[in-house]
Amino acid sequence: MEPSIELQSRKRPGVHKGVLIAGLVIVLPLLILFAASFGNDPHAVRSPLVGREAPPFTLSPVDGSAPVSLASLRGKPVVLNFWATWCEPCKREHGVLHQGARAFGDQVQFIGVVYEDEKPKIEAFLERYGSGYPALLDDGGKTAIAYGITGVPETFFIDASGKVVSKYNGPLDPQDLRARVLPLLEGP
Amino acid sequence: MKSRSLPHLIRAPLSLAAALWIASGSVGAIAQTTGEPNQHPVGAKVDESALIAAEAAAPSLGAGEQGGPGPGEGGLFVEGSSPLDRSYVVRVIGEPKGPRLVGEELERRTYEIGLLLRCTVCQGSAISDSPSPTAINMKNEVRDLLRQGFDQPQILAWFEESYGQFVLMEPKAEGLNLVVWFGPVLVLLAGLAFVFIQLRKPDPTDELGDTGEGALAGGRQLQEHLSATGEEPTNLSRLPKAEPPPLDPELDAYLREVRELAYGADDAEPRPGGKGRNS
Repeated sequence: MEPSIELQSRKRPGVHKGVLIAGLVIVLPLLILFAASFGNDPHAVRSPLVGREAPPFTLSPVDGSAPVSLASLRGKPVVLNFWATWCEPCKREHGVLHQGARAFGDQVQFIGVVYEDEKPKIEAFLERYGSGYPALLDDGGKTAIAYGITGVPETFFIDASGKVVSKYNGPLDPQDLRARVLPLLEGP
Repeated sequence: MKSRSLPHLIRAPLSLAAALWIASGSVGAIAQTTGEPNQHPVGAKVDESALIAAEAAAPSLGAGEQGGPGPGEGGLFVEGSSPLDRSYVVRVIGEPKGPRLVGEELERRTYEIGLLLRCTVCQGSAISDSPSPTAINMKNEVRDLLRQGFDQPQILAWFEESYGQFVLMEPKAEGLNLVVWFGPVLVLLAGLAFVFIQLRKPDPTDELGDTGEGALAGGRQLQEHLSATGEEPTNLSRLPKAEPPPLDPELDAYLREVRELAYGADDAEPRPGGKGRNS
């Protein structure tokens, strides 16, 4: 008898049904989880502050004028932007916010909180790119912690009653800004 | 004449001046934390070592006070000009439930709780393990809260209320997180069960099963053969030799060539114990 014929006729070991089911039970949920989360920014965590009272603060502006408190702005929607001079996307966004502050005028108060930065650099930045609204200093980062900042830029949209309506991670473009500010003007 | 005296004379006043400078820096920093924060030079870079010294000194300055916050307890709750007001913190995590910590105990607990909180700008590091400015700020916040008498669950809750569960190094054992907590154990148990079942299963290639019947039957056959022929069981050379399989002519030619090269003749066999032509 030819040995090669014997080899060819030997039955190939099939996939065990139980192993297949066990493998699917383990792998399928992981695949679904990966598929659902794929492409998500790991830092773009939904803020637990949305729908809640905005953490109050009283911070000094970089120009040395009187401290600004969130409580003093009650009755007017607030766009609260955390930024830094070392953050490249913040430079692009600065122009959008600057225009936004001019466009919405007295209807909305724009506020910038500078995150982990130095006063001379902030002053130089504002000198170069312009300043249309208060830039507040957050020494010790306590306001950034209260707002759960994980990077800049991040922007909170606070309604006239002092409640956080939404949060935006990353640089805003004019459309994003408009889409998020208009609901604030409709009132709480 | 020895020249040691002159440098020594220079060193002593220099050391004294350095000590005074360091002391004045610490006192200045203490004065900053005990005073109104908004009277600070805004945006000035605070020396980290002086800040730590000031924080260590601050509890002793405010230790005599009871009840509400006051000056000397760090910058967190100073009335009127603090970045956060105490009433907000209490609204979020309730009144302090623990003792007000000071000194070494304060530092130890700050470090321990810092191990449970994620540095939000690092890749998987706890704030106690990170030297980044964000981690330092978060550690200072933990220290301030401990100094105020907030306990560990309250402090973790404070950070979670701002950042979400992302900030906790250990996810809570609830909801989908249960998969993370118990999934590996379940998979391990399932694996062990699978191995156990596989070991207990009869071998499908053994027609007589795994009871040893095959080996016993073979032994019986051999015994019958030996008793019928009267052969000695150890005399295996007298057993009939199996026919060698037919050789591929091409392979046969190649083998002859190799034999000739190795042993000098195309039909030669290797010598017992030999390793080739050079052995």
